[in-house]
Amino acid sequence: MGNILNHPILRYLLALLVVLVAIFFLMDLLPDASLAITGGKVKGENLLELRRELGLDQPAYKRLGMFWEQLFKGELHSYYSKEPLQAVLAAKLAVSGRLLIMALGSLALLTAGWMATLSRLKASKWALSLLVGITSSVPLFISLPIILIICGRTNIPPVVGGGLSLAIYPAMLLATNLIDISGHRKAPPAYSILARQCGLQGWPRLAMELRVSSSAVQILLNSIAFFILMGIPVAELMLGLPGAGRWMLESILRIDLPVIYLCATLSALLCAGLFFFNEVYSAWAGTEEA
Amino acid sequence: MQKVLHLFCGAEWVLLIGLIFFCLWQPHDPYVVSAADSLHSPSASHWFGTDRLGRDLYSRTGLALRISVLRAGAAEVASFVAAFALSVLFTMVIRRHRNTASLVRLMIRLLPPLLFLFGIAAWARGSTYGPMLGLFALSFCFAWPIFSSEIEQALRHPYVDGTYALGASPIYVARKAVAPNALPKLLKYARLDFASLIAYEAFLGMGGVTHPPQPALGSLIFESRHAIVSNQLWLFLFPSIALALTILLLSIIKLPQTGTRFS
Repeated sequence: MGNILNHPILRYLLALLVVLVAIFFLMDLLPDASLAITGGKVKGENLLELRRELGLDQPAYKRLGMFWEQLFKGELHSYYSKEPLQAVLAAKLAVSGRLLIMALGSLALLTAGWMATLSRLKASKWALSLLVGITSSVPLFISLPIILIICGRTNIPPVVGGGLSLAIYPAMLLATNLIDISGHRKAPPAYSILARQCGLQGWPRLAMELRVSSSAVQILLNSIAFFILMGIPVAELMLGLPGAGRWMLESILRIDLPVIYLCATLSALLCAGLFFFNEVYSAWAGTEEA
Repeated sequence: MQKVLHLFCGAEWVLLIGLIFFCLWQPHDPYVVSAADSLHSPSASHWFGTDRLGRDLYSRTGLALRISVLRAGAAEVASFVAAFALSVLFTMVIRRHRNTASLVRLMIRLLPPLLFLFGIAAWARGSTYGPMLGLFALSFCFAWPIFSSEIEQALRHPYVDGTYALGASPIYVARKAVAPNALPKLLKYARLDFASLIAYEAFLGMGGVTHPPQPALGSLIFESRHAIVSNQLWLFLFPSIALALTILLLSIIKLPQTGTRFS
């Protein structure tokens, strides 16, 4: 056991395994899926028949085995459609992927734009505070409709508008971290002076900067990833795009258990990936992970 | 303009009181339907106008904001307490068994996104614990690593080693060193997180996790998004302003500062 825990990858696999099994058993605490499907209108023998058909009459450990078996065979499907979940997920992810690419592209462009704007506004602190305050206070679902109207009037595809909306706040966050907007003249840190004197340039200089500010970079990257990933379902819902985020949200609302468990599995994998990246980054930077 | 901004910043507490008043006082019943009053623009009798069913938008927005603030507040308090207690526990006690502690910590960190999904599902079916669970999970997911880092930093002070050497208990150290030194920063984080939670609560309302006729800020904004192009701009504008102003206020308001101390 001690050896397993020493190895980071094995530790992650063990944690994922325990969490995924635990979450399946926790799913029994959710409201009854058969009642959600029928809307509470079917009772007695018909309800029992439906529960048998969905496999809900089986104990949780058997359903867990059935879930993974069907998933690996490609036979797992939603309660509401006979199409295999993998195929549905692939189609939905393609739509979300386009939105994500658009958001990342917009992030690069908008960051440059924000940096230029913030540099110009450095002198007038009130305008800077006002701009940063408004950008960080207006939630995505308020800015989205406004941008959508603009897109509609200028014939820009909604997916571009969605990507742009998703990138506004993260780009501001990135820009305010990349340039100093405090307005105070600060002495450069000792490592920076030393690097300049040693003529450190290019990748070694960047690597040094990334090492020194590793915890801040991690928080920043995590926040940006979180904002964009959480924003995708919002944008899909607002734009009417048939993406994965919207599909997951709708499936959760109608207690579609196979989709909920699949979402839970995917989000656990995504989080584990993010935490692993943080751990690797911390190890590279020589700092202990918080 | 600078003076105007200073005035605004100084008046943040006045604005906060105004917002509390807005949440608590509704001049009309937010649920009363009146076909004759359908889609009235803002007037002296209906300050924010009325919706399609003739319900007073001022009262509905105020009630929706109150529900959002209460849910987000309860989730924030629960997440703060859980993150603080777990951080202190892991930093001070379980850290001696490093590998086991990191495995348990990883498991706990993987759970919140899943609990968030569960919270939404339960919320959608009318459960009362659903909103709390969903928002708590979301908040805890980010709070714990930050809390751990702050508490570790507070424990690195030589005072802590000295106190331990003199035979003080971990509870004494937590009370005398961790709480006064880490809490101000953590409270500042919690205030900003509270603002984010209100936005997420509204987003979930937009996604359909509501129970009509109870108003939700998200659904008020989402259902009125087409009003921007029609002539019923007030339907979209007032709930949006109320939400944005609440988030802005919570972001700029300053809590009483307590200085660092080791005594």
